[in-house]
Amino acid sequence: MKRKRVLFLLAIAVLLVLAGWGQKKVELLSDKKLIDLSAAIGNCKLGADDMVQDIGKETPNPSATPVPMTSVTPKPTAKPTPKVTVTPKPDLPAKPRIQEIRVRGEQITYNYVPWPDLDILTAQLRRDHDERTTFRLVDDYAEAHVYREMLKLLSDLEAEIELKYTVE
Amino acid sequence: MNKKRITAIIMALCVCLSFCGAGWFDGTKVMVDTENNKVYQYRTADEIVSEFTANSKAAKTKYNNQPVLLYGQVVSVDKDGKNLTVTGLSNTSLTLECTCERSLRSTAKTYQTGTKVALYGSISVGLFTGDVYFTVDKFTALPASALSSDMYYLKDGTEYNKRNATKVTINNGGVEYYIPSTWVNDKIQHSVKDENLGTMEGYQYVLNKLSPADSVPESLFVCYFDNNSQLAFAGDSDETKLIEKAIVENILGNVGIFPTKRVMTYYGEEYNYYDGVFKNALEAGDGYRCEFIFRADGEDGIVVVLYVYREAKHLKDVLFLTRFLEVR
Repeated sequence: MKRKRVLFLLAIAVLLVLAGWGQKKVELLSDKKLIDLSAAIGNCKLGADDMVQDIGKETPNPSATPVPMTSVTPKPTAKPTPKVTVTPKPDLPAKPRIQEIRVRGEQITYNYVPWPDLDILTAQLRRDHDERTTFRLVDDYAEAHVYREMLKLLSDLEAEIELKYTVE
Repeated sequence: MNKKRITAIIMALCVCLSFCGAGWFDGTKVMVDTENNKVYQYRTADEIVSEFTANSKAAKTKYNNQPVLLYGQVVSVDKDGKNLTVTGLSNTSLTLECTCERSLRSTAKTYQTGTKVALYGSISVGLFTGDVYFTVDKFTALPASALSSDMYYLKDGTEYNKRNATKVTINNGGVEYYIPSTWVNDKIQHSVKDENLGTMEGYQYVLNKLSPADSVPESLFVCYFDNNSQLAFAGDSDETKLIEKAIVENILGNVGIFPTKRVMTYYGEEYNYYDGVFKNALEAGDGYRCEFIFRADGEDGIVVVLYVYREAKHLKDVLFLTRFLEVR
């Protein structure tokens, strides 16, 4: 009986050791959150400007364009967003933004995605244009006529809507 | 020992472990699974042949056991489709012996001498002979984007142009990783420290706001835990696993008893992986799945890659980022 009791207590002790009891712990210098996931998830909630950005957005002709790297996401659900207190972000000055247009051979890519249709690309550039954005045109062994066409397009947009661009 | 006693001990073990948050019986699939989602670099057989011909030792170091999307031309095919010999389109001084598993052999048999072929697979080099072998994972049509070695692919054809990606550094350049240029804007990229999202240096990437915007939160964090400034005792800097446990406890508020899973990658790096759940006190529901990848920076610190989601819609972007993250 005594032997059984000892065996039982030993089994409990082994289980507790496996459970990590008595194990050394490392302490952090501060109790503050290394990443505050509640606040970070607040950043993920959609605001009014996130909805406005989607209206009227056109995608390139799917039959001519390879699948872009980011996954296709489904449309937002009709479920109303629950009221959440979001940690207000500090007021930061608007960061300058550079968007790249690369011409390689006869192919034009805009921010990585190939755009076979210049009219649709023009519409996209008009939508993406704002005060802090500069478009950078990159000649990556481009076919001369394609590069000239792209350069003319940017030049026309500069005259029309003061779009800013640089060439490389 | 009788059956009843054995059953009682096993049940006691299960109860004890379940109280301790054990995940032994958790069948949840690992999503950020670098080993089953290899990133293949596009290379032509001409390039491989040239490199091995010029300097076989250097080429072996570069390519041995590396996944490659290979493009070349067929020299010969076995009658049963088990072996395929491939060489360059212009440089035919060397051949690659390609081996196909049973499920691929019927496809292999459809190729004839001189036809062009694109193969997902991995290169290996004979230990004594120096012969170059290629184990085929999949036959594919050559993607239109396969123009240079800057192009990388997952086996399902998802592509990644490393040249067009934007390099980000943290920890004074000690950590380097690449993000798609579409992530470089205020809606997506947030500084954890500057925007009071935490005390670690690094960034939050709000993936659900990539176009078109999605209401289900999905975030990726890439941060650096500095042992020198964030540990209470400097002497703990070599206790990597315990530091990782402390990090998880700090972020999630709880952690199971089992250690992180160690992963040795095919690209020569190693990391610890931990899978947890975060329940936001302000929301109902099951919470968010949190997959941690910890890359040690010696005893100086730990790179923390954290993927938080309910639906892993941008998993492929996370896989590419993880693949090309470097700790210098």
